[in-house]
Amino acid sequence: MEKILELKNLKKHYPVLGGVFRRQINAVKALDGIDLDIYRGECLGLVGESGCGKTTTGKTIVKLHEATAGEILFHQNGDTAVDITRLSRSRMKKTGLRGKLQMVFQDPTTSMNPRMLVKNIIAEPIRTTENLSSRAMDDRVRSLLNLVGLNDFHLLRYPHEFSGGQRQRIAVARAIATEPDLIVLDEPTSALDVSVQAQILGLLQELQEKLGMTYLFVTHHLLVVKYISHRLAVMYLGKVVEIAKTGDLFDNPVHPYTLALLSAIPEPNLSQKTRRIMLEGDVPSPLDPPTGCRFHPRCPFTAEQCRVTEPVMEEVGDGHLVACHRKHEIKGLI
Amino acid sequence: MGKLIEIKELVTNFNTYEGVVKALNGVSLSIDQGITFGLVGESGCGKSVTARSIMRLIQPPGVIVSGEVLFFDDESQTPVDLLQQSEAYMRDCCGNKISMIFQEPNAALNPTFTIGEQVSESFLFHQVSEMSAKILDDLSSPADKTVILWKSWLRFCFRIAARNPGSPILKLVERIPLLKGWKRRLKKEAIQRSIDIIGQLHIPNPEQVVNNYPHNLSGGMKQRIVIAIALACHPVLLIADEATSNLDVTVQAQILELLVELKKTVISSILLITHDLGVVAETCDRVGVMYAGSLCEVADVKDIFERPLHPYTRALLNSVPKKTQTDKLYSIEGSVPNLVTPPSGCRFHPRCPLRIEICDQQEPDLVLHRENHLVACHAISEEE
Repeated sequence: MEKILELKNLKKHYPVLGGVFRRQINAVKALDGIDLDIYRGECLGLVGESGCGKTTTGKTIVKLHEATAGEILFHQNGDTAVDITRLSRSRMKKTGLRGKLQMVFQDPTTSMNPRMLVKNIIAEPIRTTENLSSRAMDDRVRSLLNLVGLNDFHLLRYPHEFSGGQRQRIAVARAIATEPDLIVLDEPTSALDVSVQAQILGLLQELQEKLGMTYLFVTHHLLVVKYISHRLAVMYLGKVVEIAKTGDLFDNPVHPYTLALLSAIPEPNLSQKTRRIMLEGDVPSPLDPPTGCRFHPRCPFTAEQCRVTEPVMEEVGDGHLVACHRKHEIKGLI
Repeated sequence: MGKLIEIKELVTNFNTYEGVVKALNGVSLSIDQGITFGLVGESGCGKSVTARSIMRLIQPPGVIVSGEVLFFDDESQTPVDLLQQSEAYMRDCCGNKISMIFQEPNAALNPTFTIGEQVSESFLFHQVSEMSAKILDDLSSPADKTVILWKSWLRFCFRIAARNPGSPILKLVERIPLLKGWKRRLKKEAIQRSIDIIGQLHIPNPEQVVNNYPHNLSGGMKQRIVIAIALACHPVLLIADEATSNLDVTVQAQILELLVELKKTVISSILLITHDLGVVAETCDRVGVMYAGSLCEVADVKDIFERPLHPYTRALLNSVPKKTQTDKLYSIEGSVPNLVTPPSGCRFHPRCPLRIEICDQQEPDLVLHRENHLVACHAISEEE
């Protein structure tokens, strides 16, 4: 498979200022060196608890945040790879890369300007990249609206006149307006009800088949991500701890954190009761992450080695990577 | 098991500028003692309004128009209609016999008070006489090292407080400097009790936590503190309004485990309001499904998940992604109706796949279909 995006040792630290001169005294290590490959045409799910750096990853990829260190290599059709972190904003716009990477935000209510008509909301990204006549633009917007399941008479309305699900459809229409290669979906369904969530997930799948886009689906809801994505990456405290194909990860998880995460999902089904691995306490502060393996203070299977050295990602199966010292003995420990 | 609370034909409206929002349209349900009752539905279907109506916390422009909320207090088996009681009675009851865990821990806790002050507030409100009796015991024990004169003053105050916490003498004393110091002892006792209850909820070093402010704690911890406040006076009915919705799955699992454990020991019944069907399957004994302000199905949890009858319940169950999901996800067409102008007849009929003629004319009643299984649907009644 062809890679579309490669993250290489990507770091994002948010400075903490203090003292009389407001110097940097510490840093919130939101991303602390992650390696991730995204293949063309797939949907990669990024899961983890709040504060583990999922959203930061998404925002750094579309360059809403500048990366502190590391590379983001973007492979355009047939071209050589471009390192996005090195490009300036204006350069990105000129080369047309800006339109190739788009994002759908978590809350459709706050991600749209309440003073703009739907027509203008969707037209705005097109205007920045192309110079269309107003009639052509109108047709384009209309076709986009129809693509996401809204009607022509919705064009001249304001965002507040829509329900949550419809608003998220508008946000999707805005994201696909520039015909992107990769869309970062940042919790697109977490503000929606289950029945509406099912509609939006259906829409996203349909669009992916039609337009051949690549998704990075960021969410904390594991069952949603299982439904939509082909591969999954599990994050914990600024690190990727496990990457695998979706089915493989659910049937055969290796990292203890993945195990705990999977066993904690409340399943709307009475017959299958799984044995639960309860985690004690909360996620530690990313200001001062634990030494060694970052999961060791909460891990039920901690060994001496875990406290000292940090595990690296190693392959345990076909495309199944895990960062855990005890990955080979974990089956016996459960 | 006897009933604990029974709601009869509850109607709650919100008078807004767009018109009257008929948030609850004759909801009737009863919760037995010792069970966990789950109330599920999409947002805006009236789950939270039901809970708030029980506690009479509906704020203007909301009005409880009619109905009864019968509360079977364990001492007297004659029910009390909470909607007819005085404000003073409700003040005494809420937080004491019935208490509520609110949705958003960030909004439910006051950022300007310490955790200890907020948890001990309910003790200082509801348990003054019990605490006074305990302090009197402590004072008479030889280990107590209070100065003699001050000790006799404390004894005087607490003797009155143990008999009647609202006594006019105490109110007068509260205005006199130095002498009002007796309350410090009471607050100390309340903080001690807060530490105990916080410790029961598996929070590490509670002695330190009571001196912290809400922003010092993480989301899961804050939620536990909100639960501690609700549990402070050992309520008979605990209403958990989306208690775990904003938490991560691992923390949610911890909190749910905690609720199940507490139900065995402390509280008798829980009314769990949630939109997450997984949570319901895991914790509840009986489930009510709500749609657009009315209950459409009430049954035991097994029946809801294995043999659902109402078309909305079936659709809701099918639209949740499952671990074993392989085929396409089912989605309900259309969206939740506007409650200012709800559809005539059955409120679900515009989206219902089983729609028959009568549905848009007459509202269906909750009818008993199987043992303990109530359904409000014309089409299902027709089939039988």
